[in-house]
Amino acid sequence: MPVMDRWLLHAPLVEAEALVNGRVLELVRQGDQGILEELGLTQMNQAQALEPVLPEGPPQPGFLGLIPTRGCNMACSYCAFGAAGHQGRDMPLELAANAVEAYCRSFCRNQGDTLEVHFFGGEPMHAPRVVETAVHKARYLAAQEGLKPRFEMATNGIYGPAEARFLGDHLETVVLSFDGPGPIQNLHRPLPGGRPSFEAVARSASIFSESPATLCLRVCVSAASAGLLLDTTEFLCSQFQPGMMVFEALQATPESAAAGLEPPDPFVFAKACWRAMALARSFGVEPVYAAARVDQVQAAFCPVGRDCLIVSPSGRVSGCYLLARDWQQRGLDLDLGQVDENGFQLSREALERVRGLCGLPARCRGCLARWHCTGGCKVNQTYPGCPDEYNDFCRQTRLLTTLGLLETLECHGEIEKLLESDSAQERLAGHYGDELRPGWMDMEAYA
Amino acid sequence: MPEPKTANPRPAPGLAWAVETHGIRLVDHARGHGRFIAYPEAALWDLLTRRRSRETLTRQMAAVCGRELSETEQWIETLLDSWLDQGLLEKA
Repeated sequence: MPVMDRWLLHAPLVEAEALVNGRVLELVRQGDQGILEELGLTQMNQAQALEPVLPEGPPQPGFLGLIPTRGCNMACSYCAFGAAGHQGRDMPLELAANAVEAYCRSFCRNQGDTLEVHFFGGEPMHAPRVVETAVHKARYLAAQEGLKPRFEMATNGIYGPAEARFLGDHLETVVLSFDGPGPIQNLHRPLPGGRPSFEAVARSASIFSESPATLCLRVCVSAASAGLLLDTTEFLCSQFQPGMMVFEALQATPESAAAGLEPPDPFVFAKACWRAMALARSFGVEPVYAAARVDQVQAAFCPVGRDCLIVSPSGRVSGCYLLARDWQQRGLDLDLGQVDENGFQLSREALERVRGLCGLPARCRGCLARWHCTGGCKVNQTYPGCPDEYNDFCRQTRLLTTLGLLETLECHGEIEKLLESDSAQERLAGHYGDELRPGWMDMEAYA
Repeated sequence: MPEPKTANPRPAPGLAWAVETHGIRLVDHARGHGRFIAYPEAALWDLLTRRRSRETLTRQMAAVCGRELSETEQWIETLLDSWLDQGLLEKA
């Protein structure tokens, strides 16, 4: 990967990276043992054995996903779930309990000592009785089986203090969508009729902040808000002291276009995000851009590659929490089966089909972010037949990954030079095929 | 005016409680002692103190415990009476 006038070498499977000049790069290509030893690359021929693996054999779900409802009490400008006008039914209480019990009986023993449940929507707390029932069922079963219950929820925070306190008391992590101070929050995430949402979400954020739960603020950045990201970060960190902040770039939808919201320029986003992440750390807040976590290697970015079982209000079990219409539009079938009072009825064929979706297109296989980003969302980024050119998600991810690796190398001067050079950013973000193919390595294994 | 038949009792004054991994920890400041409420009773305590109606409590606890509604209704009645007798609850 070209970084200014040097080259960034990244070998995540052997935990080695270096910023080298052209001469050293050539020595690496030639297999110079002295250089390889100095750079920690002598184990590269065994790297394939170190690749994180996808699940095999019987299902190995990392968590149970519950969608208590597809309904929502907001009208967010960029929502792709169509939740505001959703007319479907909430999940019956008995189904929620049955799903938790089936998950506990079938899978928990094989997954360690944790019974983990994640809530998705719509807005999960648009069906609060379902959430409460599932939480207590899980705690009851965990007590019986000697397991540790763990709960996480992606939520909008638009409910009363009593509901917020329940979540703060019972959840380990609350992932609260909160895009910034009033003007940004109300622009991005209004209530129906365009009414402001800031006061309600801020009240919930305060309750979560003071509760035992870890507050994770999920900040969606648009073209309109990217220039204000530092102010947003300072505001959210100082007012609510979250444990984590997750930064995401707005993904264009018909709804966001109709609202006049556009995704940020990927380079503007990456630079703003980098600065904001440094600021968040100064407040003791852990910042995350999920596709560029250079401290981790993974085989899959999302539930699809992790055998996760996501239960819809009807009892349908899928590998993804997005709307079925979204994956069907991509020609994908992410359904796995059903759950009812008799337990999970899963199709082995369906499971293998979903697992098979974790292969990567060429643009990803040769990318230095491969083992961190893993192609991002399988429905929106690396679906079958997706273009092989880098898109904006790729560009910002490549830049943020590079910045993260330079940070690891403590190359602070290079970081600042890179952030000031548009041409260097464009060059590295657009560099196709980062893989180094020296003659001394068997590259067939990486095809 | 007579109280509604299904009016729920409320926690006695001086009681504090906290959610723990496998139950609810009660602290009785007035009497200077504590106790642990295990599941499934802990679920009833948690939902009762969050002011769920009797009807909602019954539906939720039936799902949590995997019991029929009528059986659950009786179980709740018995347990609430016990907590009243123990001074953990007082009548609304």
